[in-house]
Amino acid sequence: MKPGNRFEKRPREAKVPNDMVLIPTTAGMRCRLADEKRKRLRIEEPFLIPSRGLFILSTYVEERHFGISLIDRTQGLSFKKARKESFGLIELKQVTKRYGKGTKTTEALSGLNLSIKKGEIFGVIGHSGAGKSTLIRCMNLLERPTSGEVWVDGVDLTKLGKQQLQTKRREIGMIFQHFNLLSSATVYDNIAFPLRLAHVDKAKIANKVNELLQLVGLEDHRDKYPAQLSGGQKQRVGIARALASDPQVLLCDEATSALDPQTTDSILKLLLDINQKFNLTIVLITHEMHVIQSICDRVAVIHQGGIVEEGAVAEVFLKPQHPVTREFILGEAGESAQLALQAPHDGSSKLCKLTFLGEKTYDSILSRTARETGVDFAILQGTISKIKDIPYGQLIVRLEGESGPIEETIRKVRDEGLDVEVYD
Amino acid sequence: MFGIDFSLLDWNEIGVASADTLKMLVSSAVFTFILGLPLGVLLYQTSRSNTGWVRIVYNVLSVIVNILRSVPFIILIVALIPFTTWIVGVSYGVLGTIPPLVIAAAPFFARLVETSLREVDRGVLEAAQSMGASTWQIIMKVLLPEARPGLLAGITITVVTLVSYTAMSGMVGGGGLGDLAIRYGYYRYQKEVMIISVLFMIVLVQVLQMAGDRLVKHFTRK
Repeated sequence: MKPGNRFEKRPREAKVPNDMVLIPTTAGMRCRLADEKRKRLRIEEPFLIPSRGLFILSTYVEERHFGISLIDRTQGLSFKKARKESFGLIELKQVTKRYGKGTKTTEALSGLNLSIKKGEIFGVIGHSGAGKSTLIRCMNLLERPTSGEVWVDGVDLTKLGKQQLQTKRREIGMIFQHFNLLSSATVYDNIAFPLRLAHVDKAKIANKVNELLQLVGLEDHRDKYPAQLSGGQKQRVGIARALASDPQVLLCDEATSALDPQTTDSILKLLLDINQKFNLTIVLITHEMHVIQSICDRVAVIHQGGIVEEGAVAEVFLKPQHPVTREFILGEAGESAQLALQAPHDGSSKLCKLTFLGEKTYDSILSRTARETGVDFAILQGTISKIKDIPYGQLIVRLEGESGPIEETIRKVRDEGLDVEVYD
Repeated sequence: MFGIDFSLLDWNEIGVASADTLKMLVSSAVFTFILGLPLGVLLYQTSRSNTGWVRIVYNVLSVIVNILRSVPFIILIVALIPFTTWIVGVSYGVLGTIPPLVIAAAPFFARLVETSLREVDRGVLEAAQSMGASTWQIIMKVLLPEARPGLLAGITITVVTLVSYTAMSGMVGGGGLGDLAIRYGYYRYQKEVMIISVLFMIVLVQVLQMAGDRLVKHFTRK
């Protein structure tokens, strides 16, 4: 099973006019530059070809042809802007969703923009009522936005007819907080369900379902009904069902919120496995920072219908900017950090938060530096944890000594590659 | 005791009447199902829509169903005589009873169908939608199978109601056990016939209810 299979049908190389460049949107696919060098390219995102003064504005793949948009540099668009406008696998543009009519409208999403790249695990975190559920439902048009565009793999869903949308939805798998399995069907029949909807023939269905049962580890439960399964097993059925039609994207609507911590971890591990095995793009919404921290590559924080912060998980997690983000992260680190930051300090001491990332987490940078500069330090609070596979540590310390040596210590530690936040 | 003498009974006639009751019951139940199920699905589907004209369709259907359900059956039979004659050619006997039975029971059954469809978890429908199911597929492959226990219970209730309706039709010469009970038990004071007719109907209802309950239990997966 390989979700990317449908690309096999397309030409791997194609001739294009001399003044155009062919860019496939699928990472890892090769194509040919139609200029004198005939260089093979491996392109993962839209880019700039300086020698020709061109920006690749957007790339998209439709059912039968490659599409590209090129823009001349003379049109005055900056590369940054061109890049910003380039297409991810999922692109939400100015998506607004209002509920109700007349004066009683509430706005769940207000002009939200989002771009999700192929192959990444993208997390959206927010409090209940922030609009995250509406957001993920807009990605397969279970909720139709009041205005705005929803692009999935180069197609604007809002422009599709009813049947086209139904076909397109087969490329977008979805799992739910409450599993939403057919209670009247067995595990096998639940997984086979999307294939039967698409009129796939019986032998193929049997093959596929058995493969999926193995993938999610439910071979022994194929003839049971959902009511006979535990929560974790039900979600595994949900995942298998969502993968049955070889989707490009898996949308997870609070998929672990109804599960206990242990089961949550096993489901997250399964999602990560699937992501790595099939290069399947996963979008998940959650209110638990833990979920984001364990498997996501990038995260967006949603608040009052808009994205307030977005970026790589490590970046957002270790240096949160927005108050809402801080709130989520503090919830994880607990009160102890708050308490540590209340420690008394004056002219002869400074409160600092040091952040170690990756291999540096295990280094003795601080004590080495302190020995050199002759500064003393008191450790007030410390954590060590992981973001996806990357270890990180955070240390709140009070540096004590003359202000000169303290400044030098901070500078040296920064040179070693630690992030230092100084509190006044 | 009480001057009851079962030896006076004409078992042959009781047999014919029982067979008539069963005939009316089975055929009206079949037609009620054929008419009521789609009507119930239609009620359910139209009630969920926000589109203006669909709402109107729902309201019209809903009013018609309510009107038919509020007319007492005994009056409905009489009121429908022209219609019955037009459909089956006669307005009495076994054949003449079936159209009013169906007209009375189908709206009732449709409401039961609508109610049991509403019991289906909306999340499951959403999941099916997210997998690209069409409306027809959602009805046939999700709604009806998921609502099966409720639908079976609805069928049972409807059939039991039909038993009492068939008896009522005896008032206007409908045939069957009800007819027998009226003609002999009431007009001719043969209480034995009355007792036997009532007894038979009690047994019939018991058997139907038990069979229905069993089916519901068999198909319940929760």
